[in-house]
Amino acid sequence: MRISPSLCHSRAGGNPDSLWLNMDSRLRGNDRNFCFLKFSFFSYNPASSAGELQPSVLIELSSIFCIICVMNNKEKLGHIHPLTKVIRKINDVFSEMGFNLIDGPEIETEHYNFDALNIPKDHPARDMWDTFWLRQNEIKDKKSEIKIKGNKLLLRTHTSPVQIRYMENNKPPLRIISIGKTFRYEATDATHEAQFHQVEGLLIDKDITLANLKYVIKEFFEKFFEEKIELRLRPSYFPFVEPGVEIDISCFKCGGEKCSVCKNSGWIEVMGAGMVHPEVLKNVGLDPKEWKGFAFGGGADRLAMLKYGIDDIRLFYTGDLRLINQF
Amino acid sequence: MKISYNWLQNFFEQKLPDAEKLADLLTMHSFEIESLEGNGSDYIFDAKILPNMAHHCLSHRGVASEVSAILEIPMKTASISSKVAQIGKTSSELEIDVSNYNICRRYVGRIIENLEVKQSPRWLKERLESIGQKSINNIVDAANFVMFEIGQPMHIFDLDKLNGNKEVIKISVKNASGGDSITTLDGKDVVLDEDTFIISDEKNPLAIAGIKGGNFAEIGNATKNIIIESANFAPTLIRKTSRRLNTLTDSSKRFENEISPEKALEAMEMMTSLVAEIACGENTIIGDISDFYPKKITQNKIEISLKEINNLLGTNIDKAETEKILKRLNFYFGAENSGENFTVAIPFDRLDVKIKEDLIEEIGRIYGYKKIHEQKISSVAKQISTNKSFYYKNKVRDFLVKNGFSEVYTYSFTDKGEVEMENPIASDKNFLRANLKDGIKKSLDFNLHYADLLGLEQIKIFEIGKIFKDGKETDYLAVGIKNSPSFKGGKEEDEIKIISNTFSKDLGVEIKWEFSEKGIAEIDFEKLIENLPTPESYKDTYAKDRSEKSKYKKISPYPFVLRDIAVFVPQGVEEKDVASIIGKEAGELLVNKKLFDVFVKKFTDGTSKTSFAFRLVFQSQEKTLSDEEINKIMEKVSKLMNTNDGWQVR
Repeated sequence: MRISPSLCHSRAGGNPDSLWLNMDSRLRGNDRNFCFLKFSFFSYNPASSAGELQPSVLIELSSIFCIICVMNNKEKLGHIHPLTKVIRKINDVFSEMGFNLIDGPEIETEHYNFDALNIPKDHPARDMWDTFWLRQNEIKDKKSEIKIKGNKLLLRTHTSPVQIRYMENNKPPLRIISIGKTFRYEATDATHEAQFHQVEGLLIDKDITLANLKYVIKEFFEKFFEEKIELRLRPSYFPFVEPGVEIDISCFKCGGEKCSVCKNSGWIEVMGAGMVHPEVLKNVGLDPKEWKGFAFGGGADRLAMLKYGIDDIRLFYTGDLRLINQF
Repeated sequence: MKISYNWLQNFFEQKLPDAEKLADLLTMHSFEIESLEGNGSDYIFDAKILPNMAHHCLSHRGVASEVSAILEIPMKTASISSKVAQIGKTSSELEIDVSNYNICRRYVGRIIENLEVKQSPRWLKERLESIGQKSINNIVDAANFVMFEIGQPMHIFDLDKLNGNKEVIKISVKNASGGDSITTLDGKDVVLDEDTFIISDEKNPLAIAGIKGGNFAEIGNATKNIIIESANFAPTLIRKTSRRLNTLTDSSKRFENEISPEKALEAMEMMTSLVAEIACGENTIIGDISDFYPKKITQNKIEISLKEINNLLGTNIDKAETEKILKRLNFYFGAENSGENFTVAIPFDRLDVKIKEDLIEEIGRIYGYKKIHEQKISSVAKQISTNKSFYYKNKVRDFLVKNGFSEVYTYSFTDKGEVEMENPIASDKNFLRANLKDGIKKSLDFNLHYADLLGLEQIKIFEIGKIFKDGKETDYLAVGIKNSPSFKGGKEEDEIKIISNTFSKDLGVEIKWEFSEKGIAEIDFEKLIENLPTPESYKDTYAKDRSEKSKYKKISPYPFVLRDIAVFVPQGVEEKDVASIIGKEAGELLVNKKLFDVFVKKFTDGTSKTSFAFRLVFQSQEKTLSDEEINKIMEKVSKLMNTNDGWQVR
C-alpha cells in the first residue's frame, strides 16, 4: 500500500520523508477485507501543525480504509514549571515599576552573604540563616578567577548578596530585583526545603521612605495575586535593614474572614523588608547621609504555593509531572 | 520565649486587655507572638524574640515595658514587692579575681550565711511552673525567678563545698587549664579547653562562665551558706563556647544576646531581697556585695530631628507626638532648637538602640506602622535593561514547551560531584550536582510510571539550572525523552536531533548537545547564548502564561487503576460522543481518558462501523480502589453505551 507523503505533509507539516518511513514501518496486517494503518507523526511537530487537523481524521482510500488517528494536539504541548510562571510574573510586575532583574552566584562568600550585610561572625543574628558551608575555599568567578582568602565559601542563604554585588559596581539611583535559588541547612517538610527560590528587591535613591516601600510592595502583591489586598507591616529584625519589618497581606482567599490558607488569622506572612541599614550603604561605599533606600525579600516557592494552592514545597523539586502538567 | 500573662499583669495596677488582644498588640508593635495557650487561670504567650529585642525582652519586665509603651500605662519596676534586706557582717569574706575584664565585664558577688533551704512558697512555684520551669528549692527558684523577671542569669554556690581558706573565699574568673573537666548540674561530664572561661575556687572549676554550673558546689537541702553570683560576660565568648561545647542554656542565650552590665547589681539586690524573704532563718546574715566593675558603661545618647524621623518613615509626626512616644518608651530627652531636635538618652538595657535609625524604628513601631500611608515612587526615566540570560531561558522554555517538553526543577544536592559540603543534610546529598542529566534521568524514570495517569506515551522533559563543574558554576540546559512501550513513534535521540534543527534555526545558533545516554542531552547554556544579541524587552517571550489562571489539584497518594473499553458505533458518531458518555457515567474517580485506537470495519451486511478504544484511568484521593468498585463503574458505562442504537461494546 502506498500513500502519498505529500498528502500527509500538506495536512500535517513536518518532514515528509520521516513521515513516510514511519508510515511504512507501521503498516499492519490484513483483517479480512480491510487493513488499517495508524501512525502518529504528530509527535514530530505538533506545534507547527496544530490547528490544521482535528482529532480523528478519517481518510478513505479506494476500498481500503486508512485511518489516521490524530491525537489531541493539546496533550502534546509541554508545561511550564509553576515556579517559572511565578518568577516570570514577579519580573513582569517589577519591571513595570522600573526594577531591573539581576543575577548572582549560588555559591557565595561569607563576606557577601553575611558580613557586608551587617551580620557579623559570632552574632546571634547568624542563627536566622542555617547555612551550608563548603569544603573548598576557591571558586572561579564568571570573568576572573577569585580566590577568597580567609573567607569561607557557602551556599547563599538568601538573594541579598546580589544587593551588595550590584551596589559595588553601579551608582545610584537604582532599582533591582533578583530571583534565584537559595539554600538553608534545615530539615525538610511540607513547608521547608533545603533548596528554594527567593525574590529580593532593592531601591536606592535620595528621598525614600518606609511609606514608599509600602506602596511598592502593595502594588506588587495586588498585581501578583490579581486581587485587591491589604498590607500590614509588623516590627521585625534583619541586620541589613533598619527599621526592619515583616509584611503580611490580607488573605486573598477569605478576604480576612479567616480560613485554612491564613491559618485562621486573616493575614498571610509573605516578606521581610525594611530601610537599608546605613552600615550596608557604607560597606559598598555609599554615603548614608546622601542615599537611602529599601530592600525586601521573600520566598518565590511560598508565593507559588499561595497562588496555586500547592500544599507541599517539596513537590517543586521532584520533577513530578503530576504537578507540573497541571500548569 | 514563654511569657505568662498573669506575671505581666503583676507589673501593672491597671487591668491589662485580654490575652488575645494583648498578643495582637505585641505582634503589631513589638515582636511576633507565635502562639497563645490557656493554662488554668493564666495564658502563656510564645514570643519570637529576635536578637534586636533580646537584650531587654528575654524577661517579663522587658515585655512589660513594651506593654507599657504600647498601651501608655505606667508600670512598676518589679512584679513583686520586696523590702531592702539588712546587711550584716558575715564570717567569710569574698575576693573576686577576674583575669580578663573584656570577657567578664562585671562580677557582683555576695555571701549569705545560715539560711534555710526548703521548698519555695506557692506563688514562686506557680510563677516558674507557669512558664515550664521546674521548682527545685527556694534558693535555686529565686535565682531563676530573677532571670525570668529581669533577664539577668544568676548563679549560686554552696560556700561550704568550696576548697581553700574559709575566711577569705577566693573566686576566680579565668580560662580553664588544659585537662580541666567539670560535671555539670545535669550530670554531664565536660572536658574544658583553654578557650573556655570558668568560675573557679582555689582548686576546682565551679561553673562554665555564663553557661552552666557544675555539681561540685551545688545547692542541696543541707546547704547553709551560699555565694550568689550576678555577672556579665561578653556575648561573643559565650556564643562561641556554648556552641563548641554544644550546651545551650537559658543563661547562655541571654548572655550571647548581650545584657547591660548595669543589670547585674540590680539583679543582685532583687535576689537578696527574695532570699531574705523566703529563706531567712533566725541567724541568717546577709553580707555586703563585692562588685568587680572596672569599666563602667556610659549611657548612649542620640541626637535626632523631627525631620529625620519623618524623612525615613514617610510620616508627619509632630513634636508633641514624638515627645509622647519617647516618654512612653521611657526614653529621657532634652529638646533643643525650638523643639525640632531631641537629644535622647537611651536606657541601659536597650542595647539595640545605637544609631538614629534604631531610634526612628522605636518611634515608628510605637506610633504604629498601620498609620503610615503608601506613597507612590516616581516612575523612572531610565529604560529597563533586559536580563539576557533570563530572556533566552524563557525563549528556550517557550520553544521546548511548544514541542511537548515539560519543565522540571531537580535537586542541586547529589552524591557525587566536585563541590562538597561541610555539613550535608544527608550522606547521599553531600555534593552539588556536576550535571543535569542525572536529575533528568531520575525524573524520566519516575514519570514513566505515571504515563497512563498523565495520558502520555512519551515523557519529555527539560531543566535549566546551575551545575558545579570545573571549579565554577554554570547555567546548563538539559532535555530528556523516554518513550513508553506503547509509543509508536521514532527513537528518542532521533527526536531530539530533529527538534534541535528547528531549535537551532529559531535561536540562530548551532546546538552542540552532549549526549550522555539514550534520550538525554545537555548543553552549556551560557556558551549557547554567548554570541546572541541582548534583546530590548521581554515582550516576545512567555506571552501566553501572562494571563492564565491555574489552580493545583492535589496529587493522590493512592495507586491508579487502568481499564480499556472499545465500542463500535455507527458512522457519524464521533469520538467526543463516546467520550462524553464515559465522562458522564464514570464519575469522579475517572481522572483521565485517552483514545488509543480507532478503525473502521465494513460488516458483511454492507454497513461500516467505527471502533473507538479508550484507556480509562481511575484514582481516588481517599483510598486504594478495589477491582470490584471499578468493575461496577465499567459495567455502568458499557450498559449505557449498549442502549444507544447501533452501539456495541466489544
